[in-house]
Amino acid sequence: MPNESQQHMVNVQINGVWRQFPKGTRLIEACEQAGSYVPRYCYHKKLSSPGNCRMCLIEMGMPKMGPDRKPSLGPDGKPEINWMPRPQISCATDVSEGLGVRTHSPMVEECRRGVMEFLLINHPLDCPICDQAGECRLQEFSVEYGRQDSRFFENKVKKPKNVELGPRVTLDDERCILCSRCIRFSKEIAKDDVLGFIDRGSFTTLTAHPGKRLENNYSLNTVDICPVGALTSSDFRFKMRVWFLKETKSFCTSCATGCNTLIGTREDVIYRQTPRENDAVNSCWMCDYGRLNFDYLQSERRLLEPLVREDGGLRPTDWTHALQSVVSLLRPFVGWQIAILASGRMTNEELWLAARLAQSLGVTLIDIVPRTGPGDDILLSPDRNPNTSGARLLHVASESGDILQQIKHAIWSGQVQALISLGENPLHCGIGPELLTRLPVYITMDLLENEATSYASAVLPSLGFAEKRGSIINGKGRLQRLNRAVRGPGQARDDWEIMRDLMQSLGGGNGVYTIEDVFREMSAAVPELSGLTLSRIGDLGVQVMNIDKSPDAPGEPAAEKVRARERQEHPQ
Amino acid sequence: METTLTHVPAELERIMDDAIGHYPAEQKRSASLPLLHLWQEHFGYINEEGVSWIAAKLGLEPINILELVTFYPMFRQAPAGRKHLRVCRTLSCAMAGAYPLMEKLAGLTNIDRDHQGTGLHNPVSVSADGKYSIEFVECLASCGTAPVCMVDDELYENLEAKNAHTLLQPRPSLSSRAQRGTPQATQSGTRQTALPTPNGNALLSHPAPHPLERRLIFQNIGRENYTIDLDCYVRNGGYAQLRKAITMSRADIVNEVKTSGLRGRGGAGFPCGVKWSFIKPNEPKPVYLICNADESEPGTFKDRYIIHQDPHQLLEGMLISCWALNVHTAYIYLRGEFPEGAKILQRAIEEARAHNLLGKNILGTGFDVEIYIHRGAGAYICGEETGLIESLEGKRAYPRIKPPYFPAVLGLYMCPTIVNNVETLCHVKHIIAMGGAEYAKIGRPNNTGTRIVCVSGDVVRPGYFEIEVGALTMGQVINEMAGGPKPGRKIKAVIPGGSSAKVLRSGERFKLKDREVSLEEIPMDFDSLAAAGSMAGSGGIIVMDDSRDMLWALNNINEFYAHESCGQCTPCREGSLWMKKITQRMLDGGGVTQDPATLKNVADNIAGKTICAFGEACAWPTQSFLEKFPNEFATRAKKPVPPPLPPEYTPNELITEETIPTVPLAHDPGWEKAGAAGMI
Repeated sequence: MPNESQQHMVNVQINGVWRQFPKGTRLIEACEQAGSYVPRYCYHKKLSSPGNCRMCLIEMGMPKMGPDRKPSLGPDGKPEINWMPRPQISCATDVSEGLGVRTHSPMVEECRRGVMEFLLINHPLDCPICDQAGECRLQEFSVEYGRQDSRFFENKVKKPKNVELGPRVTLDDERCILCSRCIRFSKEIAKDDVLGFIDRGSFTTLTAHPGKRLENNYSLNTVDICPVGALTSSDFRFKMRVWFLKETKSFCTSCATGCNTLIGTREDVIYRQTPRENDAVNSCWMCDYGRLNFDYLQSERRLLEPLVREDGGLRPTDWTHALQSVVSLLRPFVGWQIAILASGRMTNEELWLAARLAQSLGVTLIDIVPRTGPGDDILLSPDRNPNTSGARLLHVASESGDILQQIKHAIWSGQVQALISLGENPLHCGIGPELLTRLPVYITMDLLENEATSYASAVLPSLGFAEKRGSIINGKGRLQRLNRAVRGPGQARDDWEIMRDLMQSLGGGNGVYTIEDVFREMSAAVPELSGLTLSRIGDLGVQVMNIDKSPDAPGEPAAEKVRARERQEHPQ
Repeated sequence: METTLTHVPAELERIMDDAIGHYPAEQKRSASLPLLHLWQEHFGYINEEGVSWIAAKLGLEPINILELVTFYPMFRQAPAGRKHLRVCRTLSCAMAGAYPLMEKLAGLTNIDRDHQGTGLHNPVSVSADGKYSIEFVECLASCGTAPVCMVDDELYENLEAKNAHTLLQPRPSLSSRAQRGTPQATQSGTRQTALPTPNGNALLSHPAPHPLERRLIFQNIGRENYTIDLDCYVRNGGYAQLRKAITMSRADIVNEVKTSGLRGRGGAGFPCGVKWSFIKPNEPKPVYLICNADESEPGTFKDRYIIHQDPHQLLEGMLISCWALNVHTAYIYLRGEFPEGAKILQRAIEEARAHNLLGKNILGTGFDVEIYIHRGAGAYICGEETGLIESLEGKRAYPRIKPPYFPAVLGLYMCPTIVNNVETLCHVKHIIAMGGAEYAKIGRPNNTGTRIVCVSGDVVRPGYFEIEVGALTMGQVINEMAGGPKPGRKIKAVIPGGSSAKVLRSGERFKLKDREVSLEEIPMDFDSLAAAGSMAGSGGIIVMDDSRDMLWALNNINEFYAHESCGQCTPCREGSLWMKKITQRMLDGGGVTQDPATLKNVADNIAGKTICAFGEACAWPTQSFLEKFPNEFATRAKKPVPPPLPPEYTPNELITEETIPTVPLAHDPGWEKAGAAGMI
């Protein structure tokens, strides 16, 4: 990315003030940067610009040319502007030298009032039960440009309602303002040209082709970009008024891409995840799989208290007793008799402590469990572990997974007598019941009860991605930060605290009191992280490694290509 | 290819493959409309299978095809009757009795016509026995012979309700007539009509040009013994100008066209030579020429006659233009309602090819050029050049935003493209014949040449007249050429350039550059009509006499635009139907006092705010009718406005006022009184 000062800058007058913008900036973006937000419905910066909603009409002017074909200058030494008599859309024009814009002139306001009225005449007034209420652009701009009374005495156009466009998206055609964002997203980003308009004029109706469904893995992004309540998430629909939601900046941990998110919660319940823009990671999008993958945190099977095997059965206990039990279970063994099954889902801090724990126990058999699935060329990475990069950087993961194989053999041969699994189910990585029953000691730290927990000597309930803080390095080497959106259930504890306490109980006393301390310790030892703190990671993350594995952030290619072509072929 | 239940005959698929070959290999989507036409011609309608089959054939998603089937009104998703009747309901036909005709037809065929429809399309209503189906359609571009009706592919003109039954009588098929040796099509466009039509042929009412006419383009139209074949055209000097043009340099031809001052005859009146000069001489990308033959502006019916009676003139004009602009592929975007025209043009193309005037190495010049016909399917918006390009690319005819998509830069397939009207392209031939400077002497400065004006509505002799631009006045055209108002009637209003042009009122005074004139005195040229507050547009003059209700006329026009709005951008999509709903309600007796003001404001909120000029086209009639005939609207808007629920507070009050006095409830539920009486 070239530095702004190196790019060619052009002078633009916005509402009387001259400002500089890099060449190629969309006018609508320039206005926004200048503090004059231009309302819009169809324009989305990551999609092509059809210019159809007409909400972004502004007054535009070009520099007045003198007889010498040079701009004639006013008393202030700046070019005088020839204002065009007709309003122009600001979403399809790039800034150019000497361009003048008025975003709040009487003509502009009149245009906006007109468009608002047109959009509302056939729009149902069902805001009280509309999921979009509270984050609806129609509502938002109605405040500024709406009429208080209606002069529309006619019957509204009737269109289909409650249409199941696909397994995850519901459509109300009467609410649709035909901005075509969803159609363009499907075509340009999701590469699944399944939506379209049928009929014509005022009767134009958004639809999927009969027998086809909007079911691609990116379908819910159409709900995000729908400026009104036409497309709603079938999962979130009617569950919660959005103004009650607390939004926490986080990122998705369902694959190595780490799409940036907002987690919407109320009273420690997660209601939805939506993508948060980060051009270095996910543009404005995320996949449906990742987005909806939070229900397990609210599962009936959550482990709510520590369990210790006593008299042949797992009994609930308190943390002090549980940790003491674990320590006494591990005491009889030396390092080569213990194996640790760590996880690519753990944060860097947890991995760091797992490595430290292994070190203090003298354990060398430590590895993560690879987790793969089909990827795509959009966002979904075939590596479904969010932090394989961190695990490699912190030497917890073996490059080729050979240590995992050694662990299996060592359990089989009887060399390993104690297995500690950290957020992984050994049954899912080839360590079957016959191996687990061979182990005198099996300690597991996990979120959910599963078949493997029944073999455990001790079970330590821990927290999920939305319940804790910590950092993770995505498949492209970007360090990102999880923020706590909800409190963990029951007595479940933050993973890093559990490990810290274990280490202390095992005799490795240290001065780690907060997760910041863990990060500090880690960043002092790992050159890639040096100079960083948790807070310095920021909301958009920091590039710490150069890995080129997960797909490019989508959005730029299509829209940028269109714009580059327009610029090249129609220089302004 | 997906397997389908419907058997697509090999021959049909071969024709389809042939149609696909008319477009660049990577632009197969362009063949969507041709394939839909072929499917519908073969199977009668386009079912879901057809949509999927065509999509698969063109490598598209089915939704891409469904979007088209539902956009273009000529495509049907259900079978029509064995005889399908399309009655034109637009202004000139409606004035001439299209509605009584439709009622009569509905009675005769025993069809209970769905008046409302399901919204968009005028519904196709089929008789119970499946023998007939009837449908109202928008302008069929034969306003001079109104009212008209298409029975399957044939046009019947000057109809009367009392003779409606003749439309239903069995007729020999076109092919059997062809075997009888009448190669000419039987549409009104051709002089020779082998069959009796219910009311003769309107063209015979002007067998010879009117003395005030100056014929260049229409030299051969309506001419006795003039036939559409190439031999006849050549005998009359045809293709001599093409032979001359190929001896000239491209720049010279463009300069001649520039010198001629020719302005586009489609509606906007843009200087043709200037448009052509946007094409760089050394353009690396292919350059396309598109002939806009989507004639559909209500009141306009000139291109129809060129296409049906003098197709080679159009081809010659196009071939010269192709040579001048270095175009190797040109398309004629022909409106779907000219099926005979398509056949005539196709035959003309084949004849031209046989004479090496078209195809590879034409006339030994080493220059290759192909002309293909691309049929539309009933959408007015395809007359807008960027909408036309989208349609030609196989999409819904959504006009493009300008900037950046100026056709001369980013046109068809994102290549430089020139879109010219049929009549404009014909003029090119005459400019080559006369030389630009000589041509420019015809007409008036900045308003050169001849142009065809089409007169319809309340005149004695409606029809087409080719006049020297600016040499005649409106009065001469209406009163002398078109025979003036009907006996006992006076002219009340004139729409001078197609239905979107602003209406002019009789008795009004118009300020021109140098003088003030009456309606009859307005010179028929671009600049004078613009100065009079309207436009020369497409040359379609619709005359309304004092028997006409202006509200009724405006409602008819509003219905046209509401039906034809493509629906892409907000103001036009929502506003055009709203205006129609208001005028319809007023017409039905429900007009409220604020209707005229609302109508005007809605129109103002459309004009100038849309992607394409359709915004103006649909707003100007409302704006001008209200301005010119305020009383007619006021008397129909007398009911009080239904009382709206009073807003309790204005948003401004809520935001800015610190305290807001409590508004007493309109109906005190009794609590206050009860409270005051100490009862609660």
